[in-house]
Amino acid sequence: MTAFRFIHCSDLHIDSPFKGLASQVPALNERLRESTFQSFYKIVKLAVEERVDAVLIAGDIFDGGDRSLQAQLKFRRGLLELSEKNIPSFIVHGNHDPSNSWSRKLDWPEGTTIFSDDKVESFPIDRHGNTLAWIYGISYPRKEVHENLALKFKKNKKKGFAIGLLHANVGKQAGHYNYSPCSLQDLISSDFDYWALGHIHKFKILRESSPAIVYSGNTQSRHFKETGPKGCCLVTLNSDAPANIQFVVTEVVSYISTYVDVSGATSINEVLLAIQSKVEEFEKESLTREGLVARLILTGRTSLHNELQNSGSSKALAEEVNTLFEGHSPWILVDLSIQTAGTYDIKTLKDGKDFVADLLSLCDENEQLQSKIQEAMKPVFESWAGRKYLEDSNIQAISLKSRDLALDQLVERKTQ
Amino acid sequence: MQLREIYIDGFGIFTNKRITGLVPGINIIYGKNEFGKTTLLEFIRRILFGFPTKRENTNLYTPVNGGTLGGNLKVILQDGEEMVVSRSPGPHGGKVKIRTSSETLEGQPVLNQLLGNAQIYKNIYAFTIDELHDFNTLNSDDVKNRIYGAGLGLGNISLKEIEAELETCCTKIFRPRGTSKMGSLLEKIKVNEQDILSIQKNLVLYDELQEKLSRMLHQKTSVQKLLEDLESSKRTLETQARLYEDAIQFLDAENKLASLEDLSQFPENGLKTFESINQEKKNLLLRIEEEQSALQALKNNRDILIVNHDLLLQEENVQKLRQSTQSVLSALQDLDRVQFERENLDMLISEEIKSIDRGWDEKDVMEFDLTEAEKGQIDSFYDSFESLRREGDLCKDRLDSHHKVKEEKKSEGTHFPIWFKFFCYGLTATGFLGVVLGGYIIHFPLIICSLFVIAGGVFLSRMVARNKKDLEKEDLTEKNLVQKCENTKSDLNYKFDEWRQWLKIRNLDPSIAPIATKNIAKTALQVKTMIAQRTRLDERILQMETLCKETRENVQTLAPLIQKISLKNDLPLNIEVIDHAFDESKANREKRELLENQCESQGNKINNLEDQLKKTSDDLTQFISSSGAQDAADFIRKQSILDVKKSLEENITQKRGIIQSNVGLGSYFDKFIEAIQSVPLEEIKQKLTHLNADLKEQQDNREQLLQATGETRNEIENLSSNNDLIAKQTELEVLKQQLQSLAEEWAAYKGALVLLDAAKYEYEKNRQPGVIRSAENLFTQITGYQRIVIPVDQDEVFIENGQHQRKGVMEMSRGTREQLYLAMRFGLIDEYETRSEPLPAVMDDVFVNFDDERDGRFTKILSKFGEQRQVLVLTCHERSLDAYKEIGATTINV
Repeated sequence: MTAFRFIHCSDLHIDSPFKGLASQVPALNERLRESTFQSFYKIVKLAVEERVDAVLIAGDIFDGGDRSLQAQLKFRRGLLELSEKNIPSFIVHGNHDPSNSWSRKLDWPEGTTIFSDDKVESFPIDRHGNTLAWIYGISYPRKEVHENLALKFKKNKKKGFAIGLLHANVGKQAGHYNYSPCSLQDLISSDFDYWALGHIHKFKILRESSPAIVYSGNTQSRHFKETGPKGCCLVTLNSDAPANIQFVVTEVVSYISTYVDVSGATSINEVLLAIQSKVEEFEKESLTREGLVARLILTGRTSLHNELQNSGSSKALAEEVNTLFEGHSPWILVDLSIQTAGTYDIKTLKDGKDFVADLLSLCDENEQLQSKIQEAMKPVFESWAGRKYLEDSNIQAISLKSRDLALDQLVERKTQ
Repeated sequence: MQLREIYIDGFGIFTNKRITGLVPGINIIYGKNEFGKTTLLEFIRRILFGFPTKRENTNLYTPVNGGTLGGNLKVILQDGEEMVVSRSPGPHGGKVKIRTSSETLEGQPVLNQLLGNAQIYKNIYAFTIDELHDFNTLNSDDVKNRIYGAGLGLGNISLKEIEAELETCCTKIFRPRGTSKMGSLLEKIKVNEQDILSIQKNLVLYDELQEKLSRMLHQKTSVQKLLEDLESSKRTLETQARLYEDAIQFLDAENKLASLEDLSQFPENGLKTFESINQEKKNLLLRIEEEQSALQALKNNRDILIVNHDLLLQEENVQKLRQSTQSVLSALQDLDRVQFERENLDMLISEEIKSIDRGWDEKDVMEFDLTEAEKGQIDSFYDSFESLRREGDLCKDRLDSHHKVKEEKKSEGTHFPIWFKFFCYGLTATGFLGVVLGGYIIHFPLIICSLFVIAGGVFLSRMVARNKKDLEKEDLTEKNLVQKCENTKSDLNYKFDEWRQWLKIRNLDPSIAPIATKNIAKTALQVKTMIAQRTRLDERILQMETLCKETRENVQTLAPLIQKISLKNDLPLNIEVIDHAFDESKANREKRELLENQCESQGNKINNLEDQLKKTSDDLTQFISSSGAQDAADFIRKQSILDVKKSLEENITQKRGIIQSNVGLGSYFDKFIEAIQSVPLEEIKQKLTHLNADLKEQQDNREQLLQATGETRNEIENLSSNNDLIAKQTELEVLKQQLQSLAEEWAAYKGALVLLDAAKYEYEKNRQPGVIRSAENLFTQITGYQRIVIPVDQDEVFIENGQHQRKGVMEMSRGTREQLYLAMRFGLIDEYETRSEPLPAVMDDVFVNFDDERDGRFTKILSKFGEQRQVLVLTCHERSLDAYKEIGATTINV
């Protein structure tokens, strides 16, 4: 059997916005927005350069909820380029882009195969009259699919490699919707050569061979929580060797979230220097990317705490930082979060016998206090009209901030 | 810490005031009204905590009786250490010094360490009656905060203010109603979501538009087909309408052609031939006529020419005259000038002759001549004279020079050099010695040589002697020269005689010199030349006069033959007239001969043409009869019918061509003709009008479709290029993030409030009982009430009697209220001093509103209170003074 070489990718989420940025830098808006498409386009270029036999996309190409026409047009543009180079593409719909969320009228380029949502279909890939491989796949008809779709895959006794294209949560992985749940064994027992999976946003090889079971992960991070390199898999299948799976980074923008300790800083300039040095540290790691978005959480006790708490000053600082990195390559966007504290000594304060000491002792009784705070938060987080836009907050962080605010008032003011 | 001494340098009414004798326990500082109780209390507070600034809008207690603002307090600490706290004016509350036995320290922070919580001291240790009253004006919450605040360790920070501030922050960020940051952010989010929703409709819209586009394209195709059909029909009808006239003409022509006479015998290009012959005939006639008139013109020209034959006969004379014309003209012009020239020459000749010799005439001159031999002789005479004269002069000069030299020699004498003489003698002597030596040695050659030497010496001596002789011969030369001079002179005279003789022979003046003689010969020759010239001029004059005479005679001979001549005219003019008349006659004669010849050839030409005309007339007659026509008129008629036929045929061909080029050949053409024959033009036009209307309607339809298609395509294009969704979504995410941050910030503020509240609760719960218990104890002792109650969940302070009846602050009498606050202060001081060094309590007449019973009870309490600490009571009431004295208080009069 001849070697079969293809690209496996998933979770492109083209044109879905980046989440978690509290401000925009107009000059970088366009680049940020384009990043998901650009990473897909990198895959297209890779496919052309590597002259692969096929490109397999395991669902979640768009965020269906976005109903973005532009995303679909951009996707089609990429497919068209593949088609022009005679590279067939195989696509299944995932939970984010079930088949009912796609445009009905968009004509897909020749060589593009979109799998049906009612049964597992299979399509051959031929080279010089010989069938090289068979691609099996099934799409999500709707967002929530609780059926084990893996069980529907039956290998026909046909010549060539058998590759399953599926959007699923294998082994009930936490932190992900448990759609199309299946076990690793379900996949192993299918007698396929390769399972191209989608849904989990992290590159993960569940099984090296016989069959190789792989999550390619998403192609571009869209949240500070999505850490690690993002990309696609360049796979070569040989009948007499295990699958060669090469992970290729495709993300054009890397996102990092890190703490910057500004303890003891006495001037904004020192804070700026600490930020610069931190960013430069990460910049070295992101040289292969086009851009770097860094969330920097300023921590530590500093006499600048009060100044930094002032929203005007922190905004000015953020602007200053972004101006500092203007014209940089890779471009850099810094998102500042101020979590500094005043310079008071908690331990000494706690040892006192006054009100402040009582207050600090109270903070140790965490749960009771936290439940009280949570109770106080209800007007916003439970009964307010805008609550649906809010995520659950880290009550511990809020308690800590509350304590610092109270101390700011009681101790900082006293020493003023 | 306890006070021992108070010294006031200057403060309000006090100047240089020292209060001593302060002891532990109760100290009553007594004075009359206005003695300055409050001033003293304020002095203690300000020495301990600093002077206010002018900006604080409070009484500065500026010394009114002199002295510098400030003073000191002598204090003793719990451990027995004494120190003096002094303060003088300065920034930040004044300059404070703490002097102990060992050191002097400066600065408020040092003092605050001793005072413990300075704010607590200020609030609860030192107070006036007015400050007790202050509580009245405060609401119950403030009372609570002030009371607790004093013990909270927060200084002058009010918990209430902190809470209010935190609450404000919360409200700014969020409030359920009214404007807040989160509220406006939510509005923005909603607007953004609306925008996103409307953009998201693009996906459905895109599908709808694509469907619409495909529908319209389909429609467009069918309309296009219909239009093509209609246009085809329209083209057919338009062709019919356009070619209708042509088709009708075509048919008419065909009909007419069929009805015309058969002229198959008539020659193809008969008319051309007929016209050609006819034209030839006409041309010949015309040409004959032209030639005849030309002949007549020639004859006329010939006849008007006049020839003077007589004159032509005199050609020889005329030629002669013509030849002499130039000579005559020259003769007439030169005659006078030549005559004048001759006269001048004659005069010149006479003058030249006279210049030779007055006696001479032309004959003498002509006869005088010098031969070349004679000229040689003259030259010889001349040369001899010159040579002899020069020789004479030379002799004379040499003689003169000889005389001169002789004279000079004579004056110098003769001289030979002496060495020469000795040389000669030496030479001779050497020779002689040689001979002697030769003879002695018998050597002949030497002898011979010596002899030669002797001979040389002798010869040289003789030469010297001969020279002397030469000088002596000078006189002979002079003689010779004189002789030569005389000879030369006689030769010259002889030669002169010879010359004179020569002149005489030739009849010339014997006195003239040879050169002059040669000149006479030259002049005579010139005169001869001039005479010859004059002779030539005479000949020329004669010649010219003869020519003129002959010419005149000739003119006179010819004059009668010429009409226009007059003998009065001058000769050249007449010659010219004769010449012209002759040339004219001669030319006329030649021209006439030429014209004669031309007339003859013209006559021949006319005869030829007449022959040709006849032949052509015969040809024409023959051609007409050959075409079947009877005569020329018949021929013309037949020809015109033929022309009509041809024109009709051409018309038919042309129309057929037009129709065929529009509708096609064969069956198309036949069908077309058939259609034209069957349908009248009006009907065609009517059909066309209907068709045009249909076409217009379909075209409009198509236009609308095209426009709609374009618009739909544009819409699709716009939708495809609309990148707003991701921008809006990004914006939404940012807004959400901002909302989240705000919510968390709000939660943190809210949490801080919760924390403060909980801490306060805890404080109240754990620490309040100590304060309250202490205060309650005192209060019960003063008032008989059993309890002071401050419920945790309420802000009110209550007092409760034995029957559990509660009274709020506002329900209490002023005295009870003051007693309550005093009790609570004492309670707080008790509680506070469990953790800190006791401080002196200073009270300014706080008991004035107590009734006697309660005053008595209070005095006892105070007595007990004073056991553990120093108490300074400032009063102006003697009653109080006595009462305190009873409990062992120290009295200090001010």
